[in-house]
Amino acid sequence: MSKSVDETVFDYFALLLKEPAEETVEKPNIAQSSSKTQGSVATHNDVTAALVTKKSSQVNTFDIEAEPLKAIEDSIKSISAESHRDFPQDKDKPPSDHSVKSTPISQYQPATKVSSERSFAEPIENIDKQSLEKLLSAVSKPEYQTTVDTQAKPAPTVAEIKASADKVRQALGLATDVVVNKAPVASALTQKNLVADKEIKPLVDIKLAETTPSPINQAIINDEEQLGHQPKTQLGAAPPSVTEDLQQVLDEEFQVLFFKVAGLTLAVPLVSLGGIVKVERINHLIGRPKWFLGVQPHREEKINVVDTCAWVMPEKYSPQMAESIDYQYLVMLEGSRWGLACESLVNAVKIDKSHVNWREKPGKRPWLAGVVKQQMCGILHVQALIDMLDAGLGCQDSIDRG
Amino acid sequence: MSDSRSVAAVAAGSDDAVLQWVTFKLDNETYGINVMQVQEVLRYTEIAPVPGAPNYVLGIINLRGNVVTVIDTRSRFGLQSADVDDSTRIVIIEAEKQVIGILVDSVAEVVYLRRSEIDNAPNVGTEESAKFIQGVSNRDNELLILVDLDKLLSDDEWAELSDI
Repeated sequence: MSKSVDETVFDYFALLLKEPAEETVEKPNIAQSSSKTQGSVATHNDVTAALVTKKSSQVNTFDIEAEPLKAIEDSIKSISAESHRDFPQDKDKPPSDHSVKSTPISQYQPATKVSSERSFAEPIENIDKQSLEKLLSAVSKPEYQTTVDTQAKPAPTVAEIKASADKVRQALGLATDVVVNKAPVASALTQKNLVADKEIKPLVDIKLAETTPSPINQAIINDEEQLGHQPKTQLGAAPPSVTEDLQQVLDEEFQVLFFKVAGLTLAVPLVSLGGIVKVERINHLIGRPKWFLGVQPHREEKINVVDTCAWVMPEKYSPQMAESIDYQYLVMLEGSRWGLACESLVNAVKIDKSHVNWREKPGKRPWLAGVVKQQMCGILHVQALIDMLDAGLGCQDSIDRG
Repeated sequence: MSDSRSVAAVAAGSDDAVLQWVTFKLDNETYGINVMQVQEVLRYTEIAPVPGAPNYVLGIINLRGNVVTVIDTRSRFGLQSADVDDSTRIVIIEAEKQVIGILVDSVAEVVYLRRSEIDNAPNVGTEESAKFIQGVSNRDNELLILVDLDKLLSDDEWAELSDI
């Protein structure tokens, strides 16, 4: 990279030295084609032999003829020192490069269009910075862009103008900074401000246009990603947990007990069946829901009896139906004191897991694990049912409370 | 189960105190009230209604010169009313520093229960009457429902009752 910079700088200033008169006209082209340094050199190499001799003679005069170039050499020395200050990272470069760089630019500064376009108050420094910035930006874009981006965020134009000055501050301290600040004349300051104002607006606009959309887009993308991820994870995690626990307990082929309540057939897996108890005497407790039939003592224990019809079909439960129902057995739920009152026990059969249409999504009836396809009856999710009963929830309550 | 219960009783030691409960019948259910709150049990006597009294108040009786308010227990428990018969009794109790009478279907006996023999009632009740039940106990394969007389009426109702 350093070689290419050197070569570019050398070629650029070699051209400036060779054709001083044409430089004012050609410089923009050179500056534009600075990235294509080799191409421009090639075009110059293709020029006529006279030009070649002219170039060689001019190079020779630069080396030999001292009198006309005394001023140039002095300025080369002075500006080379300044250029060293301005770009401490270029210390590795040979001093001759800097002298070659700064000399022609400082010499032809009033005539150059680039300097007049920027209209800096200090011709020498500004031109030197400008040319170096252009050259460096053309050759080593990544480094230049990173430095500009980091400095341009708070004040883009100021940072761009004083990009090299900041580096000088770091290297030399406030002395150079004071010089840089004090150097411009009052008129030049006004011009500078005017030009700066002119330049600031488009630059700021451009940078706003360049910078603002990207964070907004990123924020939108991030929000979309976040919003998009949340439901996915929730939806992905919830469904298997509905009947997964029950299905894990059950074998591929498992036994179920079918029982009837008011013409409705329900199935309970035998692994979730706590037992069958004959209805004897159910003690009614005051202040309990309608679906709570009462408490039946059984072997020194107390069974909480559920009016299954009232619990499962509260909308169809009427006093007439209540009178017509004759509960005979209590289907005990495994691991609890809850017993579902039923009118009759149908049978216990083996069914395959695939014969059950398992509920996959959480719905309004967590107590219903699925539907047995052949018998077309609901199969109970006993644990969910126990949880609901313990919480005092009825079938309709579960719907209301989700 | 009985073994575990007895073990629990032994472990409880002196905390497992024996309490006496007066049992009475109401709509074929057996209820028990703390004997320490029972003053006496009366046969049914004429109850004089009180105009403007709350619906849970049946009326007042004259008990040896003292006016005692009688509560309609069936109504309070959310049960249907029943006709008075020979087994109907008025149980005079003291609760919340007031002496009142409760009308019951019949009075059965006094039973002894350890604290460890009392279980909590199923906590599924949402109605106000659910809080009357202090606990349940299984005795001779029959359920005894223990009533907390202090919670038979609310504070406002107790205050209202004192003004009658």
